[in-house]
Amino acid sequence: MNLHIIHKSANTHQSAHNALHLIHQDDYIILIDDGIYNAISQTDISQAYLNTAKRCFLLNEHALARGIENTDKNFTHITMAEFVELSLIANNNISWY
Amino acid sequence: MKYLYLLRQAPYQSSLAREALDMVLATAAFDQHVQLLFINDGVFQLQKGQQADLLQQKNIEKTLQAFALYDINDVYCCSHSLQLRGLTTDNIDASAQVIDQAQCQALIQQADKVISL
Repeated sequence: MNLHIIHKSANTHQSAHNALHLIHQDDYIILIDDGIYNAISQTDISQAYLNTAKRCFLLNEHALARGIENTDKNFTHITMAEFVELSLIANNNISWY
Repeated sequence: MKYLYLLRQAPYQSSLAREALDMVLATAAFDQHVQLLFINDGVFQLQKGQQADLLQQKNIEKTLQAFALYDINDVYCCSHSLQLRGLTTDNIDASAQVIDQAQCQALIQQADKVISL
């Protein structure tokens, strides 16, 4: 399992879309920094991630910092410590900045 | 140890493409097995006929020709990225092997380390 780390908003950066092309059905993704905006419910990008990756996470601290609460419930909120754990069990961590 | 580099940046406007290639050559210089996948705007690095001297910059195309000296033989290019950008195999360096989405994903799955630049 590879962990894809999405750093940017899909509204402004193509990298958030480009990741979809290489995400394998067994891979996980995590949204951090401005990538958080891609978890907002009823957006195309949030549904695209949910339909592509096996599991989808978002970094809770970064969502709270941005005041974002209306994220899709299928995105699991995790803490920085849990993010570190996740990155350790992944075969590779692939950044999309 | 098998290193797969995802080379995603277009050349010249930023130094990211140049710095990524420097890292690639350094890895190869330490006798590691290096694989390259040019993808997204990174496929523009493979464009033939670059004249970087007009920008007073080092020519990326010339660096690609040095790969053989560093034993870098696994050079791939994403067909989807080419198509989206109106490029064909006629436009790009012949040493890059064009592969599809499934092959790109398989490349990632078999790599020991994946570095996305």
